[in-house]
Amino acid sequence: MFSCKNYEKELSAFIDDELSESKRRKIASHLSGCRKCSDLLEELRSNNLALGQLFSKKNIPGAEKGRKDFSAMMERIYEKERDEPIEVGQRVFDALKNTTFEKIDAILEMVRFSGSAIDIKASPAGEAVSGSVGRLIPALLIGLAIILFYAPKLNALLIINYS
Amino acid sequence: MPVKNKTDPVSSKEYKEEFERLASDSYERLYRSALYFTGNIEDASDIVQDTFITAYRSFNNYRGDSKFYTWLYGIFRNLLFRHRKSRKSYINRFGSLEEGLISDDLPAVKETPENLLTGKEKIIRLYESLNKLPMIYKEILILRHFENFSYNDIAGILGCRTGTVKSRIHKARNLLRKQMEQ
Repeated sequence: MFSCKNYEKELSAFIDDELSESKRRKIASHLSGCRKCSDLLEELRSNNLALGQLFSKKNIPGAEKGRKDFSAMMERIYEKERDEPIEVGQRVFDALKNTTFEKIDAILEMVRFSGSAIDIKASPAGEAVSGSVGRLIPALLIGLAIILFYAPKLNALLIINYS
Repeated sequence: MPVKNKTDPVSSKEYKEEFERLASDSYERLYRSALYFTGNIEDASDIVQDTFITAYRSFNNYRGDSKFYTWLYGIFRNLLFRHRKSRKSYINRFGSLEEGLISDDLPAVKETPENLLTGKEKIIRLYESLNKLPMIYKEILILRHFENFSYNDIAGILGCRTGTVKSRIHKARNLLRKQMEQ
């Protein structure tokens, strides 16, 4: 048996028309008999309408004035391609540069975390571990973090994950 | 549709024509977004051009199983982060009230009886509340309400599952609602 809380979770997707037909019918049926959920739905719809107005693209200053001609831009791109043909290595490098910042941040965060978490010499138990083994552990953890982060979506490194 | 023959060199006529056909439809939409986030024509033009250059060079990788604009926007988003040196610039930029984006003649927003704000007042409160949300939730609201992307599109851009998008949007709207009540 579904409680209101379960239905509430679906309301955003209901408004955005992102539910399957059967789920949509189920929510609609609940809404027709539940004042609390109907009020919440109205409030969310009202906020969405306001968000739509806040984010309106119609009144962006300079949109017309500054808009450059598409063909002219393409010409510049072709010229650049002719003058500076890029090699495969450069393409990979460009793709790597375009890796999302969240991923880089997350890796750095992991590195920082692993660095502090395994400050071996600072911990009494860690005094026993020293020398090359002690230095290897952070490096291994960092490497492992990177592999774990990227392995499931190796394509993400090459922009093409968006297609 | 992507270029059929993936072995075509970047400079081939077919490659160019196919790219231009798709890119021309996306140009103005992307330019407006760029202008909105960067706040000036020069930066907007630069970032749009950089986006199209990157897209042009990577076009062989576009498989056509998502909309071209969605694919393009993924590139744009990454460049925007780089361009502004900080993701904060991208996120904090949107919904700028200082530049007359909200006019007085907006239609009134339907209000609940206990909260009788005018349309404009509500939007201002919304803007203030929005700026208090964590970045992850702000961005998903931008993608949904500013760019009008579907849940699937957003999942492609953020590199996550559609279910994650659904729950994140729900949480973002709930947080916003609670923030507005404070």
